[in-house]
Amino acid sequence: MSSAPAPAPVTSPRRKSDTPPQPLFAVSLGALLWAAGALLFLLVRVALTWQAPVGGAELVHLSGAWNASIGVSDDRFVATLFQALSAGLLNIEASEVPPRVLAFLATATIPAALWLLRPQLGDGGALLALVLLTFDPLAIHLGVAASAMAFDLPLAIWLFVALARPALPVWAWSALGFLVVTAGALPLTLVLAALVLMGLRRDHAYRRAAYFALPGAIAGLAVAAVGFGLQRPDALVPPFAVLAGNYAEEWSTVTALGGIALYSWPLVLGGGVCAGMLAWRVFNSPEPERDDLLLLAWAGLAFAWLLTSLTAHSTVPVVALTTPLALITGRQLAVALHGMARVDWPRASVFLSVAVLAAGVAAFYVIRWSRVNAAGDTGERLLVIAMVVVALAALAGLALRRETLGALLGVALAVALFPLLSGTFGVGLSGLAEPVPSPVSPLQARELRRLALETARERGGDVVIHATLEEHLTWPFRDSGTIVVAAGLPPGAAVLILPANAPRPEGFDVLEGNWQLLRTVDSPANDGFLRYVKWLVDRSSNPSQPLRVAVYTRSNE
Amino acid sequence: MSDVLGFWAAAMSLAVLALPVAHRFFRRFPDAGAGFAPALGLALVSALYFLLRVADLLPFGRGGYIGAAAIAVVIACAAAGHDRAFVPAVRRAWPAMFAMAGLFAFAFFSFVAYRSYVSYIAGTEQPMDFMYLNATLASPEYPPHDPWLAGERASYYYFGYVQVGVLTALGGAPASTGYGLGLAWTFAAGATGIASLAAALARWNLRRRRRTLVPAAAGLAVVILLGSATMGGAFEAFAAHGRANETLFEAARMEWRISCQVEDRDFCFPGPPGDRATSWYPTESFFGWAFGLTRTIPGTITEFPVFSFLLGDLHPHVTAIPLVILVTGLAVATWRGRRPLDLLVLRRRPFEAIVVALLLGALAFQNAWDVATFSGLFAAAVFARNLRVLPAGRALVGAAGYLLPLGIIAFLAYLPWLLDFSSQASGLRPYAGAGTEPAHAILLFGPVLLPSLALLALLKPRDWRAVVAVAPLTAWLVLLPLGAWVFLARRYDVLDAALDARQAHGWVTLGMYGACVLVLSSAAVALARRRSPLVPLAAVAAGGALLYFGAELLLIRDIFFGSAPRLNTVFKLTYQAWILLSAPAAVAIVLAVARRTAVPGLVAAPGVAAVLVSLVYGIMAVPNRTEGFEARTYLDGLGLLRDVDPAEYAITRWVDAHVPPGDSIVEATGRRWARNPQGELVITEASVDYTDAGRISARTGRQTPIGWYFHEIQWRGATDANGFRFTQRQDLVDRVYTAESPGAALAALAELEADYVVVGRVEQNRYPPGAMPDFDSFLDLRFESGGLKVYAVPFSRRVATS
Repeated sequence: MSSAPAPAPVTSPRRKSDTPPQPLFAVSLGALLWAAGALLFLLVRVALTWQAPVGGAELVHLSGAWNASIGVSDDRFVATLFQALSAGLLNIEASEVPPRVLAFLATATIPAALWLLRPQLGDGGALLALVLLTFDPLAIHLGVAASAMAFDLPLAIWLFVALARPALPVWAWSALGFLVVTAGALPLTLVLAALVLMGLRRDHAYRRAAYFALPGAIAGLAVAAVGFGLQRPDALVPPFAVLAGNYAEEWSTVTALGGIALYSWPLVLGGGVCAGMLAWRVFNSPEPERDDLLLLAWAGLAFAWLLTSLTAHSTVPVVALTTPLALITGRQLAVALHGMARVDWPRASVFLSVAVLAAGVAAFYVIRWSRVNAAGDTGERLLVIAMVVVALAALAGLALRRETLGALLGVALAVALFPLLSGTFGVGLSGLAEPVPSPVSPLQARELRRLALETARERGGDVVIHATLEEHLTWPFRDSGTIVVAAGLPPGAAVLILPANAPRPEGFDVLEGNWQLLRTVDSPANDGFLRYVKWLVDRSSNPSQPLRVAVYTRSNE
Repeated sequence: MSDVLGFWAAAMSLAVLALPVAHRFFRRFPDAGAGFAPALGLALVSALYFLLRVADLLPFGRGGYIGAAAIAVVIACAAAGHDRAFVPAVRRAWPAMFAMAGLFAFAFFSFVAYRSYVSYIAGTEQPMDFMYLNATLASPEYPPHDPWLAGERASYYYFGYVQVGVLTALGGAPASTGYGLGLAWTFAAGATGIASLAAALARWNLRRRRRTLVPAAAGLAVVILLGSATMGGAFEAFAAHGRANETLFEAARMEWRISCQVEDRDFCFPGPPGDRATSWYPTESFFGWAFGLTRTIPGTITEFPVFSFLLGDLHPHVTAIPLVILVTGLAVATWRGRRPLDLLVLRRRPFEAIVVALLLGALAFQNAWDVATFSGLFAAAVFARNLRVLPAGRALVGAAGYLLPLGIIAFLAYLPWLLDFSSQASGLRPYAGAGTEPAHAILLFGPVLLPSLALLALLKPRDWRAVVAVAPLTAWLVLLPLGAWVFLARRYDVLDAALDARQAHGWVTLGMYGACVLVLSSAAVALARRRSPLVPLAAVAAGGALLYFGAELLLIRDIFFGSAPRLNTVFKLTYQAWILLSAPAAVAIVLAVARRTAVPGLVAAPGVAAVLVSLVYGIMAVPNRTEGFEARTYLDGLGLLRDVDPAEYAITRWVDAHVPPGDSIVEATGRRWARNPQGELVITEASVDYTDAGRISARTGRQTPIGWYFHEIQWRGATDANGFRFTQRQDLVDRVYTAESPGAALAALAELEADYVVVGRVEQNRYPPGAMPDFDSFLDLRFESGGLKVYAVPFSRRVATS
C-alpha cells in the first residue's frame, strides 16, 4: 500500500511588515565594554599629559633631548627614536607637553593592540589585560612621560601582536626591527624571549621574522649611532644605553623594589601566580602553544631583569614585568572569573564575613598605629595578631572546600583593588606627595631662571652656575642664552647659583629666598610598614625634600 | 651577605648558560663538561663583553654587563637548540652535574668564610690587583684605562680582572667585595675544573666495577691542586715547636727555617732556635714562614695554589687557574675524539672554532705566560689525534690547517688588547746558575711529581718494551732544551761560566727532571699506539715534568734579569706544572690503589706519603693567617679601613660615587718629604711601590697622574723616556702639594690635566706640616670628612642653553 505523499505545507510568504524592525546598527555588550575599557585607559592618562611635573627619567631625558636639539653634547641623550623626536619637538616649542602628547598618542594604540590579541588571549582575557594595564600606576607614568622610553610599552605590546600573528608583510618586520633597536630596554626582554625560543625550538616563523627585521635593525643602529643627526651618543645601541642608565642613573627616588612595594605588588603577585599556573599547564602539555611559551619566556626574562634591578633607582623593570604578566593574568583571570559563578555563595559568605570583620578590626588598629608611627601596647598587638589569624583561618576555610574556593579570587581582587586604584589616581592625577615621579623639577626652578636672567641683564654680567648643579639646571634653564658653568668663582659673574652650604663669595650679596632646584619625594617603603600604611591611607602625608641652592648677586659697589 | 649570594648566583647562571657549549666539547666526560662550565661561561661572557665594549656596542656600567649576559643567553639557547644530544646528555649526567654544582657551592662559600678573616685589600700587590679590577669596572672606554697613569690605557694581561669584574657587576657587589669573591670563584671553579678532568681520566681508565672510585679521584685531585703545598710545611711544624732534627733539616737543605743562626739567608727565622709557637700551628707571621717557604729555592719564587689563595693576591696566574684547567680538559677531550681535525672541520663547525679560538687567545690575555704552555698542549693533542688515523705528514698538515685559523681568530679577537700591551719579556736566555738542590726539588714538587710517576707502575710488561722502543724518538724532548741551552749559552758567551756555575746538585736535579720527561713522554707515545686511556695522563704528566726541566735550563729575560734572572720563569713554569700534574697525580694514585696488587701500591706509596706531608702546610697556614679564626671578619675588602679610619674611607667612597669615571684625581705620589735643617723641602723616601701610593685611584678606578712607579716601568718598559716621563709626573704631583703659591699649584694641576685633588691621610703623612698650600683659598672644596678633603680644580666654561 502506498500512501499519498503528504501535501506540502502551505506557507504564505511573510509580509515585510511582519518582521521585527532591524536596528540601524547593533552594538554588542562586548564592544561596549571594549569601548569603555579603551576610554578609561585613555582617561587615566590624559591628566598626566598636561599637568604632571617634569621628573624622574623624563627630567633626565628631556634635558638630554634639549641639549641635543641645540647642539650641546650631553650623555643624557641616548638617541632613542622618541628622544630624537622629542628633540625635534622641543625645537618647535620648548615645553614638555608636545613630547608627552606624542607619547600619549603612541600609548593610546595599546587598546587596539590588545583588541587584536583576542584570538590569543580570548575576548575576556584581552579586555581584562587592558583593565590591568589601565590600572598599573607605573605603566601609566612610563607611557605618558616624555622619557627616552616613552615608546617602549606600546612597542612591546605591538611586537607581541606581531609575533603572535606572524603573517606580517616584510616591510612591517623591518619597521619593527628599526623601532626595537631605537627604543629603550623594555621591548628587549620580548625580543630576547623570541630569540631564545627561536634558538631552542628552531622556530621557522620567528626565524623568518628575525631575517626580515634585520635590515630595519641595521638601519636603526646606523641612524642611532649618529644620534639621528643630532649628536653622536656615548653608547651606540640605544636599548643597551637605556639599560645602563636604568642601573647607573637616578630615574626615580623609588627603587624597583620600592616600586613593587608601593604600587605594583598586586600585579606582580597575582601575575606570578597566573604565570605559575600557565607554566604548569605548558609543562604538562605535549604540544605547548608557541604564544604561551613566548609569554612565559618574556615574563621570565623580565623577572630576571627585575631581580638584577631591585636596588636600581628605576621603576622601568617593574613595568617590564607587569606588562607580560598583565597579558598572562588577563587570560587566566577570564577563565577564573567563570569559576566564580559556581561558588556556593551562601556558604562562602559566612567565611567571607568573618574574614572581612576580622581584617577590618586589624586594619583599624594598624591604621591608628600608623598615624603615630608606633605599634600599640601588647594587648592591641595580640588583638591584631588574633584578628589576622582569624581572617587567615576564614580564608583557609574557603580554600578547603571546592565549592567555596572560587570565592578566594573575589577576596584577592578586592584586596588588590584598593592599592591599584589609589595608585592609579595618585600617579594619574600627579599627587604632590606621590613618589612617582621623583625627583621633579619644581616650578620655582623656572622662576629662579627668570630672576637670574633679569638680574644679569640689569647688572651686566653672566649667570654662573656651580658645576655640581649643572645637570639639574639644564631643563629649567633651557632657552636662557649663554650661561657659565664653573667650579670656583670666574670673573664677570653677575649672578651666582651655588650649593646651599657653599660659603658666601666675597663681593656678592645673598638673594634672600628659599630657592629650590629639585624636589624629591621620599619613598614610604623605606621607613617600615606603618609608614607605608599611613601613606596608603593618606597619600598626602608623604614628605618631600627640596634641593636648595643659594643665589648671590654681585654687589653694586 | 646579599653581595655574596648575588655573586654566586651570577656565577652559577653563567655556568648554566655554558652547559650547552661545554657539552659540545666534553660530551665524553662523565659530567658532560659541567665542571668546566663555570670557567667556560665566564671566559666567554667576559670575552663577549670586552669585544662589544671595545666596539662601543655595550655601554659603560652595570647595564653593559647585563647586556653581555643577555646576548649570552640567546647564544646558549641557540647552542642547546642545535645540539640534539644535549638534552639526553643532561638526563644522563644530571647527578654528576649536581655534584659539580654542589662542589662549586661548597668550595665557594668555604673560601668566602676563610676570606672574611683576611679580607682587607692591602699589602703585597693587592692594591695593584684592586686597581686593575676597578679599572675594568670604572673605565668609561675600552680597552680600559690605567688608573695609575692618567691618559694611558692599561698595559698588562688583565683578562682575569675583566672576568671578576663581570661577576662583580652582574652580582651587584661593590668592587671591594667583588675582589674577595673573585678569589672565591677562582678557588671554586678551579675545584670543579680539576674534579671534572680527574673524573674523566679516572673513568676512562677504571673498569666498570671499579668506577665507584671516580669521585675519589676527583676529590683527591681537588685536594692536591688546592690543598697540598711544599713538604717544607712539615719541617716548619717541627722547627716552630723546637723539635728540629738538624741532620734531617740539613739533608733536606731546610736548616734556614730552624734559625738564621743556623743558616743565614732570606726568610730564615730571625730568632734563636727553639719553640717559637704559642699554639699547635706556627704563630710566626704568615709573611715569615709561610711566605718564606715559597722562596725555598734562592732567587726564585715557587708558589703553589694553596699559598696563592691564602695570600689573597688576585694575580693573573691565580685567576688563570680555571682557564688553564679548562684548556687542559679541552686538550684531553680533543685527543679523545675520533675524526681527524683539519680546516674542513672548522668550516663545518664555525661556532666551536670561535669558542676554541677565544679560549686559546684568552690564555695570553689572562696570563701571557700560559699561552705557550697550554696552547702547545692543545696543539699536541690535535696532532696526536690526527696521528691516530692519518700518516704523519697528513696529520701535521691537518693539524696546521685546524690550528692556524684558530690562531688568527684569537689574534684578531684580542688585537685591541695586544695593541696596548707591552711585554716585559725580551727573549730567551740560558740559565747560568748553580741549579736547584735535589732536596728542594723533591720537597717543593714531590707532592705532584712523585704520585704522577705511579702511572709507570700501571704499564704492562709489553708496554715497557714499547717504551724502550720509542725512547730514542722522545729523547728529543730532553735533548732539544739541552741543545737550546748550549746554543744560547754560546750565543751569549756564557757557556763556560754556565758549566762552571752549575754545581753537581744542579746536574742531579736536571737529570731527575730529564728522566721524568723521557719516561713519561715515552710511555705516552708507546701507549698511544694502542689508544690506551692512560695516554692523556702520561702526556699531561710529561708536560708538567718538561716545565720543571725547562726551568732548570732556560729563562725568559725580563726586568729582574739583573738581580734574580730566573725568578719569574721558575715561578710561572712551576706553577703551571703544579696545575698540570694535579690531575695525573690524583688519578695515578687512585688507579694504583684500584689495582689491588703490590707493585702499583708500592710505587704509589711515596707519592701518597708526599701528598699527606704536603697537606701540613695548608693545615697550619689557615689558622695562622686567620689568627686562630679570631680576627675580625669582613666581606668588604675596605671594611677594616671603614672601622679604623672612617674619614679616609669616606673620602674614598665619595670619590667613587661622585667623581666621573673619566676624570683624573691628584693624590700623593708616595714619596716622603721633609724639611732639612736649612728649612728646604727634600725627599727622604723615594720608593713608592708596595706602599699606599695611588690608593684612591686603586680603590676607585679613577685615574691619577702616577701610581706605583716601578710597576709602571715593568708594564711599559725600562726605557729612559718612561723613566723621565714618570719622574716628571711625580715631580708635578709633589709640586701641587708643596707649592709656595696658589699659582704654582694651579700651574702644576693644569700641566697634569687634573680635575680633583685629594688631601687624605696619606697626603698629610707624606708632606710635612705647613708645606701644603691653603687649598681652601683657591680650590673648590667638594667633600670633607674628619679633616680630610677632596677639592675640584677650578674651571669655568660658557654653555649655550638655546
